[in-house]
Amino acid sequence: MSTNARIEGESTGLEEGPRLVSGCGLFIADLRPPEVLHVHLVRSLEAHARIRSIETPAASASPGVVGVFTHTELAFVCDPLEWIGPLPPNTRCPPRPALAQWEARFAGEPLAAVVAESVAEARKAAEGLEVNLEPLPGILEPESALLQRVPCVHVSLGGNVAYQFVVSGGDTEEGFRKADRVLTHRIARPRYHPAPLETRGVVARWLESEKRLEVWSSTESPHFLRAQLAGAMRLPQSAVRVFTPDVGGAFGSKLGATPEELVVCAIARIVAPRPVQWIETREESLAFSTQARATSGELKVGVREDGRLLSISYDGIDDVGAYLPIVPGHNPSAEGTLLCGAYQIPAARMAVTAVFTNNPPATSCHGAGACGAGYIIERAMDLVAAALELDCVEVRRLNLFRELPATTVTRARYDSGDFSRLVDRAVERSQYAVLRHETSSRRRKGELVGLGVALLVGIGAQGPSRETGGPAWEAATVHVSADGSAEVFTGGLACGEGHETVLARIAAHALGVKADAVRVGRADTQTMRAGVGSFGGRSIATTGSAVLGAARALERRLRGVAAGILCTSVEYVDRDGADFVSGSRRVSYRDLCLLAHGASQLEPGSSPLLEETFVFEPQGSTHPISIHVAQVVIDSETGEVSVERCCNVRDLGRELDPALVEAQVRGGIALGIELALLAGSPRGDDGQPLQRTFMERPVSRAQGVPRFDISSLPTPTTLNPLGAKGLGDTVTMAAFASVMNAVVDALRPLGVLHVDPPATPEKIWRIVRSCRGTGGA
Amino acid sequence: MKSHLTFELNGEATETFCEPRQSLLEVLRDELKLTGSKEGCNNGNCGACSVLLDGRVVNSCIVFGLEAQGRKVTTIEGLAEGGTLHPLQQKFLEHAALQCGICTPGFLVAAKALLDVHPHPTEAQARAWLAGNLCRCTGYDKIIRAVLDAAPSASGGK
Amino acid sequence: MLPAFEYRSPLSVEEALELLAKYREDVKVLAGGHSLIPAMKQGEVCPKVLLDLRRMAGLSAIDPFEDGGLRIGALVTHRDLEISELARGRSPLLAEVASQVGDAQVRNFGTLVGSVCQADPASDYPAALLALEAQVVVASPRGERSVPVEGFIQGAFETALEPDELVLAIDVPRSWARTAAYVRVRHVASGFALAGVAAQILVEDGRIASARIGVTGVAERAFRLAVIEEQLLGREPLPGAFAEMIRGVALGREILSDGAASAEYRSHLADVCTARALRKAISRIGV
Repeated sequence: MSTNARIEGESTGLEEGPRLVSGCGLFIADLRPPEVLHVHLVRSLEAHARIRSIETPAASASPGVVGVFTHTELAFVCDPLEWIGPLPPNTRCPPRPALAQWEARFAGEPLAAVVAESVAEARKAAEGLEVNLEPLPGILEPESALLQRVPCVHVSLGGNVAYQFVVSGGDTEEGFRKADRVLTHRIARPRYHPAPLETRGVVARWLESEKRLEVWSSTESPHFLRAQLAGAMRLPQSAVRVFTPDVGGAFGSKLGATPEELVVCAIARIVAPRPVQWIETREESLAFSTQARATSGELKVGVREDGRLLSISYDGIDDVGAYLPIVPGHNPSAEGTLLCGAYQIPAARMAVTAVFTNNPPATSCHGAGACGAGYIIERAMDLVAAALELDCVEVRRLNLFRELPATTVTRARYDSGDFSRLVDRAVERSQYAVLRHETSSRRRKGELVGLGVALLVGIGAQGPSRETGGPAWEAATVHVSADGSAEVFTGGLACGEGHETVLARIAAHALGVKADAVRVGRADTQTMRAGVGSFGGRSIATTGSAVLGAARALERRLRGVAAGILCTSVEYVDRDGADFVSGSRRVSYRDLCLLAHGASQLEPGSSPLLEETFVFEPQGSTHPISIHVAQVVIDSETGEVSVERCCNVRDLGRELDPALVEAQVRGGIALGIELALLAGSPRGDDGQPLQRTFMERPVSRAQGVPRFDISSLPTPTTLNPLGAKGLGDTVTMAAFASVMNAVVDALRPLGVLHVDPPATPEKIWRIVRSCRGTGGA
Repeated sequence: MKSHLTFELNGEATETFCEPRQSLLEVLRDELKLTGSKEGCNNGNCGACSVLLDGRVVNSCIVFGLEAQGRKVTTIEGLAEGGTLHPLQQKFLEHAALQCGICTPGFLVAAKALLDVHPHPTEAQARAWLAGNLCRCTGYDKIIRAVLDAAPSASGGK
Repeated sequence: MLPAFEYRSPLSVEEALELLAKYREDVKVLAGGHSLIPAMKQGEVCPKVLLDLRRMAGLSAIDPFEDGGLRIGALVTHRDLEISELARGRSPLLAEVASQVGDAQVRNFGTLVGSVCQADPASDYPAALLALEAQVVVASPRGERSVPVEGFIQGAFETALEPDELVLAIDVPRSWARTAAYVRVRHVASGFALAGVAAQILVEDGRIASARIGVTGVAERAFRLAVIEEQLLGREPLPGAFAEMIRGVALGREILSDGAASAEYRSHLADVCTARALRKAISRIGV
């Protein structure tokens, strides 16, 4: 029967859609538990300081205040957040206190918490808090963290290195010796906050009679958060329940556990039975929350005169800020494996030293792993093209892997795809030759116009766990009730990806029922007892495969029950629509479920519980691919960059819901443009944030984003039964890198070889002016 | 000191008490428990709290609740009629014009104001009108498409 | 929620002036509130008394003067100006600027007078108001007075308004030139002007007979380009003809410098926008 769910399809609206368009979405700030108390955090105004004293009496006496807490009070109920389990190699993760104890390590670190009947009263009371800080010299530039005789961000570590990794293959030095030319360039990417429209937030409640902690958090990883909070709260994980309401965007900034969440839980335990809520302000989010890592380093490429790359290396320093963010799947070296991108290069080496600084903690936002390496290799290709005066597409074609599967010299294995076809398609769809011609003629008229290409290979679903160093699996449970209605529970949940829609369809397809017969349960560590989370483009590939496995297993169970009822053996049971048939005998799906629960017709020993749990562990990392062509024009008088055209071709593996994929692709492109032209989180020389509102933090808006031409050339991966590679932020980073390449291309006639992002107007104006001599215009 | 506030909310006479310092958004969310309008920035920069005040779209986070005295306020909760979604809501679903959904109420309200003024907007008009609403997931493309597609049916339904 | 304040909504100018006289520095006046409320949220101002003008009669209108000028009441929003046939006909430059302020939400509630009283150096309006030689109408217990916008705005967030005075309206004189344009470079986040230049030109017998140019965003307060206005007189209005005279129009002033743009860049943008505004205004001759 055709009414049953197909696994692929155009969605006619998200499962979660009707509630979201009606204003009925329930986000963390929409939760209003009765009797709730509100937390306001008092933060360090210094980037690095010794805490001399925090005087609380005046604040405590302020109207509406229930309590004022510092490290001392919270130490009775919680310990600092710490890494649970083995640390990745060469990694140091100092404990992160709920509230700073002796030292404040970045401007914005929480020092004290004021708890009151309302946010307004808590904020008002905080003005009466006397915080006495003694400023200390700090490390604000990552390069200075490695110098001799500089302050240590964490004295106990005796140095500022957070982690180091080297990923290499082949003999890079030999490659450089054999090369006709060796090109080097320093390149850097800034830190920034991804600024999801929903800030972070948490609600916690301590149930004294049950000795149980309930936590609602806008998080990307509820089970990981539960583990972290239980550890710090000295509770068994079974005593902590984490719920996730609707999450209003994350992009990597809501991964792992943070002091704010711990503070709220600790206070909830103290003020029980009243629940406690903290909602991050926009200022806290932009200025003090976990940001995207900054990196800078030296890129070196050895190339033959004919354009073939022989060797590539990147030696960089990353700035992780004051604390190493404690996140699931922490695997920075994954980036190194992707240094070769889509290209067959005999030798490659990526060496990164990540250092602690007195900046806010920073992690992988927008494309864990793939982002850095993909940008580096795509800048390298353009440096080569410029040096050899080759077309940038030609240089890429020359070096592509001709056939997949293939393994790069840095041991990234690409199981499926066709790089050449993707390049061909992008060249055709973008009318690359026409654009090149147009670019030349506009240049002759004096316009600064440029074309950029980037071919990004990302990481979607990582695996297996023994290689990635963190849990790469995901679990799913499918349960069918006596009336035939089905529920799906997983550890991965939606942060704006439409998971409910797709997961419901996967389960319905495997169960042989209509999609609307399946509901996807909200993320809740009690209904789904184990899980990893939703991040890094793993959700459909990994979580979806777990749902598929569970639903298939359950369908086999149902067939077994049907065989008993129909007095036949299971191989003779067929499906007709949802019904089970054998010859002329038939039992409807609903009757079957009812009978199974009644148990009277079950085979002895079989369970009446219609439920299966399945754990899916990828046996290799998937590699989504995206190629992007961008055309930009620079206003030479003002330095303003406009993106005129965008063309994207992708291979994300099988697309279970093309409409939802396209939505994410378009969003990814807009974000990529923003990263290239706008995003950065500058801080003053004193470490103070310069962006506290959207009046200072530039973001893309409906006006100013061009229309995008997007298309898909999917090749299913063999690494999971759904064939999906995941999205990750491959598209975002392709758009980002291609726009940066286009900006450089526009400035090529002036002799420019590289521009660091973001390509802001004043920066570009200065470059134009210095290249043209004085005058600028 | 709370003041008495009476106004028409989503077509119904409404009264409540609020403090002068409470924004219209705070009155809607905290006093009237209508949490469909979202707080995105609390500074008038993101449009997530958009509501219609006498038919004009405003950021309710930087309008005092008392400004609504005697006026008409329309929020996301007032867009659907009975159980029937507004054509804009329907088109947002059809075009997959939302992802995380937190900006969606603001966009829908702002788009309704657009279609009330320009029943058949051009793409440029729609993009300019919605420039005050931030979306971090969709890249705006599908939102614009949904709004343009809703234009004939939305105005036809009036 | 904001810190508490006393809220007053007078019904008449007399009542408003009484309250101002009583509370003086402790009071802040609310028209649209789109400058004031964000400033209160950021903790930059913390008034004890808020005086809401929105119940007062007679401040919401755009009134024509017989001589062709306009009176724009204190409660007239950016959107009102943008769509008013009267304003568009009589002062297209002001309507053009109004249509570019902020976004749809801000234009619907923010007011021209509120913006001028805020005296944000990056506001778009002062460029046009200087070029239009507009006047601020101020009431106080001592009566009414008119202050040229140029003198009213005294610095960044500073005006000539006394604590007991209230701005009732802005008067825009009859526009003698239909050839006008506003050109700016926006701050990438806030949308405010890093530099904005409004120019209006009168052309008679193929020659420039009069010119007024206002510059905003660049210095602590908006300013006129009196020297260039003078130099333009008698010239033929050819696009691009004045490049040589537009060099360093902001020199000699205290130029703003911040995270958004250095003084050097702003100064350069002032030149760029001046040239572009003149070019655009000239291109509109005969349109």
